[in-house]
Amino acid sequence: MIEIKNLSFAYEKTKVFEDFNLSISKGKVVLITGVNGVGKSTLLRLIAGALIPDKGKILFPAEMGKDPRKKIGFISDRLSLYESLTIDQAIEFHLSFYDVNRFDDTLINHTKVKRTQKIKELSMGQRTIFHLSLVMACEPEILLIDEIIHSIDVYLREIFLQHLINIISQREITVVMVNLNFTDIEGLLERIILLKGGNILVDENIIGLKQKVRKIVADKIPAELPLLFKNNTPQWTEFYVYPFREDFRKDINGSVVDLDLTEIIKAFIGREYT
Amino acid sequence: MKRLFLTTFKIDFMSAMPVYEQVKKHIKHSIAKKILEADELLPSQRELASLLKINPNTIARSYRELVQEGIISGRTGKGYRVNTNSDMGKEKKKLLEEKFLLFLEEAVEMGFSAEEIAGIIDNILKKGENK
Amino acid sequence: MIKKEYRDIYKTALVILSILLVIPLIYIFDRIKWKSDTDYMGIFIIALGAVIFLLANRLGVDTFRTELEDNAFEYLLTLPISRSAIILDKLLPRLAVIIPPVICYEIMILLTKKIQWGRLVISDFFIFKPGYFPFLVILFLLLSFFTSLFRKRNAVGLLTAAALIVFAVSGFALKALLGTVAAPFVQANFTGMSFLLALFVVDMIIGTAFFVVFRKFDVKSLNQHSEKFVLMALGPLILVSIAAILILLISNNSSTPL
Repeated sequence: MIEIKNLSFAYEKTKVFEDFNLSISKGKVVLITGVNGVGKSTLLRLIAGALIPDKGKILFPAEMGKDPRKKIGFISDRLSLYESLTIDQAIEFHLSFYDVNRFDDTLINHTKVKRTQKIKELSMGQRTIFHLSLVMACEPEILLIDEIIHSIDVYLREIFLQHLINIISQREITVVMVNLNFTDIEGLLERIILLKGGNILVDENIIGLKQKVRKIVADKIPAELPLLFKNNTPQWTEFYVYPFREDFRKDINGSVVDLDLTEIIKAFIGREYT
Repeated sequence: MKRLFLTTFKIDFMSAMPVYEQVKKHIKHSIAKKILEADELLPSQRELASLLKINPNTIARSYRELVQEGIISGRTGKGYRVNTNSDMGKEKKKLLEEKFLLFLEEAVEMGFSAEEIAGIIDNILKKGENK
Repeated sequence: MIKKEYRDIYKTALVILSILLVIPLIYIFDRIKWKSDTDYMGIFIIALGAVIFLLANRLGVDTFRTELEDNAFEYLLTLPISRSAIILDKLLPRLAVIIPPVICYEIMILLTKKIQWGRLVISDFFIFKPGYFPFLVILFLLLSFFTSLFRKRNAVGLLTAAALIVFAVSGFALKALLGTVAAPFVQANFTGMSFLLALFVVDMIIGTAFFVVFRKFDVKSLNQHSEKFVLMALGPLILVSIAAILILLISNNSSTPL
């Protein structure tokens, strides 16, 4: 669905990507994460067409038409919109670029906004939900979400995620999420990509990742075990092992603990900081 | 009974067991414990995904595999029902074995020997029969 | 997009509308009350010309004002509209809106023929000559438009307005100064047409720099794009200036003195 080939991009003389490649299949929910400033948002903007690659291409299937942006929905943490327009004006303006003329206001009714309010008068939560509604009204095949899920209150977050679940069950939409926080969204994710220094450090199916990264609580572990990260607490030492295999268990003198996505990513990032 | 099925349904994200497996397991357990009865209509895939806050495709996989295993039958859009003749015998045994293994692990950790454990089980069974 | 653009420029359009309404009144007033006897008409026409230039400047420089003020640039670039279509949709309404006052001005000039202010014969000043005025206004609007993205809009607005005034006034002063010293030289080189052509060339250079930079433009790396724009425009401008000076020097040497 999204083919990134030999992408190179620099921001103000800093190289962000050099010969970067990535392929995302249709209908998958993908997480892109990494430390701050690693280029996650830049990557999303390159896919969305807000930025143009210096070298390389981003390819979409032919069915998406001459301008693939017609079928791409992008919601960013900057929530860029024409702030002096009213909601009605913003809807009219936005829909005029796509081949749709219906706007479903069920979502924005949750947030108690009036259609005559100006965008700049809306709260962050109201604006995020409005942006989502706007983007969804154009029936995108690809949805790009950049770090907004955790900037809104838990109630609106629930509404946002439920709407997302509805859309995913109705049609084969490809979702690429950039996030630093994984609570509430872990159940939706299928593929996890961790970026580091303009390259892909980890690219795994979430099922596989959870089986391959385990924490061992022990005094020490056999030297041959592939250690990802070590965490010394006052009470004990935590050894994060990747890739873990079931046959390691017999050599381990301690407990093997399963991890959630937050713990897993923490280990990978912790390794980068030490 | 469906309410009990839904309220006891929790996905453990701390577990390395894939979510689709956890979904299958809970459905099978619920059928084995008669929380879900034969021919009962299961929640729609979308409903379940909404409730558990997980990807609808995960639910789709669980339902698909359960159909293949003969536990449930149906189709997307038409609804899924618990099979009347699904062989829960094997499932029930597996479920009981799992619970028993947990019990055994604890007992062993507490330091009981095999004979002591057998003795305790005997006692409990005798008391149960009296009831 | 065009609809929104018209909405954005309505304030300037109102100013233009009021000018268009005022002009015939002043004209009639002049005919009846002053019997075209005074210099007031001359002053008014100079003011009118200047105001039209300022409006063109404002329209050009504020082309991306809502995008920059409303933080909407990124949004605009993710919409399914090509960057060239964005430029077209922004320019056309602004050009359309500046045409009516220009036409009015042309009519005024033709009707009043000779405009004088004291000893100054305004109508000889090429900027206010009927043939040149529309092209100069449009070129000036384009120039303002091309620089609209790259620095604080108000500074650029003043800069371009000042540049044009200096350009025009110095041409006029130069013509007056050299007219007595080397008449054929002045005759040959300082016509209104040469100023027009010079402005056209400047527009082309800066315009090309603008188009090249706009292709990859992004608000976040404004400095990078500003630098590139200035370099791309400055280089050719310097080359053209050197070429022009050389040509003038050569033609000066080869022209026969009085």
